[in-house]
Amino acid sequence: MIMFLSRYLYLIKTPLYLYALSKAAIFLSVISVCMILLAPAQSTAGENKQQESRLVASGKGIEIKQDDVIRMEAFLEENTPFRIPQGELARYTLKMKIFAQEALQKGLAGEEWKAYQTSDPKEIFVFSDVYIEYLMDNYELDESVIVSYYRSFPERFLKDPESDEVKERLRERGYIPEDWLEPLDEVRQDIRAVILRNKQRQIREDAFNELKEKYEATIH
Amino acid sequence: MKLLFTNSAKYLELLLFALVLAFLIAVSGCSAYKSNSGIEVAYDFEVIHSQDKVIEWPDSDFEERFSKYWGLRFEGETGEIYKMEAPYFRAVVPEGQHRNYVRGTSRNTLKSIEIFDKKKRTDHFFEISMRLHFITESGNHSTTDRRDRWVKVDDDWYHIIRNQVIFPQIS
Repeated sequence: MIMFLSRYLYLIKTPLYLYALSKAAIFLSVISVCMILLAPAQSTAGENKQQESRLVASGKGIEIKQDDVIRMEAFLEENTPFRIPQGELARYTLKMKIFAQEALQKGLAGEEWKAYQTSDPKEIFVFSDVYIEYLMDNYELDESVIVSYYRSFPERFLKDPESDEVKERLRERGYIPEDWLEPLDEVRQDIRAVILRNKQRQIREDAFNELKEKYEATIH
Repeated sequence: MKLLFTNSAKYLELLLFALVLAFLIAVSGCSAYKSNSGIEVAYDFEVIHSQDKVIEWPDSDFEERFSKYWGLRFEGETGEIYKMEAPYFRAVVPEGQHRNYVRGTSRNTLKSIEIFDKKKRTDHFFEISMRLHFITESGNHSTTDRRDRWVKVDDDWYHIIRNQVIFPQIS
């Protein structure tokens, strides 16, 4: 082995060889540095692409990718005052998508839209709103809920709240006769609207949980 | 043998202590509130009217519901209290949120409710100005004044919570 190497040792000592060797070393170093610098950028772009197409939620006829979540977030930022925390965006997008799908399937947006599929955040938002409106209109409120609200806040249903007699009675925390109040039937719809507005979040969540089961939807 | 004797003495001592404790509880617990309707409410606190100003309850059911509510509230029976809140309140406030609100009360022991005034605001709505006398966890006597509101729906009286800071849903 030593004999073999000693045959070539003289080459190392020649200036021409040393010059070529140093040039090659510089070239190789530059290439290596470039590869090191470009490699993460290439892999980040690849990972991003992979991330965007990653399935974050799915169910019967429903597929939500990370890209859909990003688009929904951008849509909300541009068009609404709503800001959903990062950790809840996938759930929110799934909820809106399920509501939109349900509105379409029920024909709430019109019979011609029944088989329509969409991944456009604006359309999802509009159709989901149609479903939420349907939910609110059809929510059954017990009569005792309406009556108890009406009777618990008599000062809100006064026929003539500006009259001196009424003002004085309110100030004294005195007795308010029944005929000083608007009849229940005349304010029933207003009371229903107030209660449903205050309950809307709960109604939406209940409906989402029900529909999640119907669509066998899961967040991954 | 000595060990057995020592343990037996300890058990006897414990038994004696338990008996004394049971006797004391029995003696002190005899002041259960008796309502006008003659129905005994099994809570160890009194409802008293201040300044000899006794204002009649609108009906005996109301008096009973009122005592039951405050008795249960200080006992921490949150599920039962929730059922006694006004229907509109239960429609918008989940039980868990209500539980968190009333839970703190049960750390104290209610001694008496001093009633200053009962105001009939409408035929179905009453306001009771009152002072709760209670013993805190640390054993101190404390009081809190409040205006307690009640509404009658379907022949039952329901308690009203109007704290919109804790329950913005009831606005």
